[in-house]
Amino acid sequence: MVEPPSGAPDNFFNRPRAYDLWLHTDGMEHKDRIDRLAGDAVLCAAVKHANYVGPDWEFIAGEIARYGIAVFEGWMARGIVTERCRAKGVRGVPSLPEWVRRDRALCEDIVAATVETALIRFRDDVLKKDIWDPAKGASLRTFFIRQCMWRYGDAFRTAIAARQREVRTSDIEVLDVKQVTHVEDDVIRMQTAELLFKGASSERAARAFAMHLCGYDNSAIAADLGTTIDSIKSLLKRERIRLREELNREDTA
Amino acid sequence: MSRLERIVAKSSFGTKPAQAARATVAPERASKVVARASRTLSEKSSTKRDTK
Repeated sequence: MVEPPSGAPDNFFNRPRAYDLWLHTDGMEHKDRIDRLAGDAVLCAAVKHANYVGPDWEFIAGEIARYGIAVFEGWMARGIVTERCRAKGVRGVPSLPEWVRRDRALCEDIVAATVETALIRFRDDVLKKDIWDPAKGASLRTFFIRQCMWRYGDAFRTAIAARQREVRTSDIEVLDVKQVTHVEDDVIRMQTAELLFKGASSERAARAFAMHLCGYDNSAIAADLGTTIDSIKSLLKRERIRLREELNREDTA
Repeated sequence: MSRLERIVAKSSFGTKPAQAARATVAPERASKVVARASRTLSEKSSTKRDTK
């Protein structure tokens, strides 16, 4: 028999719906569900006891965040995030363009921002205000994912806007850092490279290759794209292979 | 298993599918997200204190 959770509200087992579920003995599913709800109540009590700060809160929040990140990254990778959010009635969820879905770093940024904001609202609007009620049957996990769904749209728009600004700014910087006499030459090469890489696997890959063709070394490209030299090396290698394959296909066609 | 690990394991975040999902994300990544969220929270509280 499962013991009542120490941190559960006083009327946890007395509320009609929870009590009905508690008595349900047909299958393990309901019992498991009740056990999990009881566990959620204990988790709530633990973070409340920690006053939502310090190592205890950070550990539990970290585990909640890991779950949120995994779910949203999975949905983004499979291209079903918009569908999932809309299915739950979340409004203003933007469609996920293919180029975003393929840009892993960008997806990671979007998911991190989504989970970060969701965590803040989950703490302030759900946990602190005792909004979550185990008697209603929804788990804390469901509450948290719903919170993430509400935050996803804004996080997506902010990340995309930041990426577009970053690309535009670095375009100007690229022209500025070279000597004036070389700018024209660079622009032509850059445009050629960008044309070549219109179908690159991501905007970052196209930009990296364009800079590479303009004579920038890997460290400069890495600094421009905010990543490591090793990741630039492998990115360029992948793009070279892809381009070679594409050219071979065109030749044989 | 620590007390906190046990609490998480018994909650809805501790079911097998949830556990498997959590295992795909490095704890360091989640820590960064939590740290940023905590920073935002403390900045918010200090702004509130300042405006009082």
